[in-house]
Amino acid sequence: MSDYFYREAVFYFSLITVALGGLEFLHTIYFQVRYQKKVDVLINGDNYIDGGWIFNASRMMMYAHYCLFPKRAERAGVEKAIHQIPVAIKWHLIVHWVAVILVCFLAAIAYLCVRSIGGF
Amino acid sequence: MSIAPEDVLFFIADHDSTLLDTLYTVYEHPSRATEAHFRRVNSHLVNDTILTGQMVIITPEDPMQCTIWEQEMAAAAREVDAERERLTDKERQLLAKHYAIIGNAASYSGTMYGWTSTYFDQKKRHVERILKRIEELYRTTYDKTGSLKGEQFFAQRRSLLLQVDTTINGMLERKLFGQDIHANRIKSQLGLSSKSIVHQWNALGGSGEIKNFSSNYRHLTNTARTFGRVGHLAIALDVGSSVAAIAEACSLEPDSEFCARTKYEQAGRAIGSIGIGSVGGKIGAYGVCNLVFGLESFGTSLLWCTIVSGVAGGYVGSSAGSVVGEKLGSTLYSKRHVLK
Repeated sequence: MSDYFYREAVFYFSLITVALGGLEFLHTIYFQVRYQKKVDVLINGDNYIDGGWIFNASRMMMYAHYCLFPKRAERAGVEKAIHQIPVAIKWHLIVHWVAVILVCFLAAIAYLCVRSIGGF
Repeated sequence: MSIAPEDVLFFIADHDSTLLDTLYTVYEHPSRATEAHFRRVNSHLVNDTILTGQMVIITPEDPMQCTIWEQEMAAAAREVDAERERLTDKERQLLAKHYAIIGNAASYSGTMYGWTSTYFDQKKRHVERILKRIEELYRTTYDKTGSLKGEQFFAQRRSLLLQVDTTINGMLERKLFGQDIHANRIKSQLGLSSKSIVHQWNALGGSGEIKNFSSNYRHLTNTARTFGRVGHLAIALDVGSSVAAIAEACSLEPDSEFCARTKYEQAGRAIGSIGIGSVGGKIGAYGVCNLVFGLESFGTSLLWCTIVSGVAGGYVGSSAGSVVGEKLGSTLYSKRHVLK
């Protein structure tokens, strides 16, 4: 592959990665505003506390993990609460989880590619 | 300096309640003397109400007189009230619920001394020691006999397991002033959702630390405020630094190629940094707190773990994202320029 095409490929790949990262960020805001408290109360009961952006985002990932891996939810003693989460919210969590993992991998690859060519 | 007596205890209320409810929860059937003494020491609790974030001092039953320690703690409680006024409702709740861990976090920032060792931390270490002894018992028995059987083995194991049981139960159902406080009752009434809600002054302060209490509490309130805002602050700083860079470039050379290119580069840098930084923070917190440590979704451990690993992950993601974003912005500008 010629250098020009490689640079173009890296450029579009990075563009898609950053766009996905941006979308994922917006989705986090949407979820936190719309559903976070509801899910927190369902799972943690009166332990609900708004601990700020990072804490809430971390919990989102954890809840998605519980949805995807019921045994982990069982170990944490929250399997009943997970069952009570509406399907639409579960989908939000799962899509979010997949997006975060995906963007993380894509971003690492994009960063290494950009570093290797020193720009596009 | 005298060492604080064993029975100097207090808690930070994590929800609003009445003074009478708390009194009956702690003492079950308090005598007039007990109630009068409790009210006197806790004179900062006005209108018979305990508000979220207020310090409640647990006094001994049927006291003969008010001790110097109680007077000093009452003064500290008034300082707490003054600090509490500076917080929003959300911040008060955050501080009260995560009091112990925020205390630990604040100590790491070099502002607090002697606060990291709580009653429950000590108990936890004790449990760990017993568990190690159990493991040792298994190993030595197996090495000696080639199996895990025998009367002596079972007797020793039973004794060690009993110790674990007693210690763990003791964490919640501990003896206060010679009287058992039932775990479930105190848990539900006082809202003891997290483990470290009743604090032992001696364990927290060691000797002569009471004077530092109010200044320490001030650091705690500041840390609590930071916890709630740290994510938003990081995002605001990212956007702010990009806006500043654009403003600088465009005020030096207005309507120039440099100004236009900087706009693209800095916008790309900010988007990359926030988007990828957010992902990095989540992956860091998720990987460390959930996958490695397997923490629960509530409690103080998750908060602490998230702050450390989330910030570290966010920093790495943000650094990588800003490099990629800036290059993207620059290239987008060049492509647009060529097309024109």
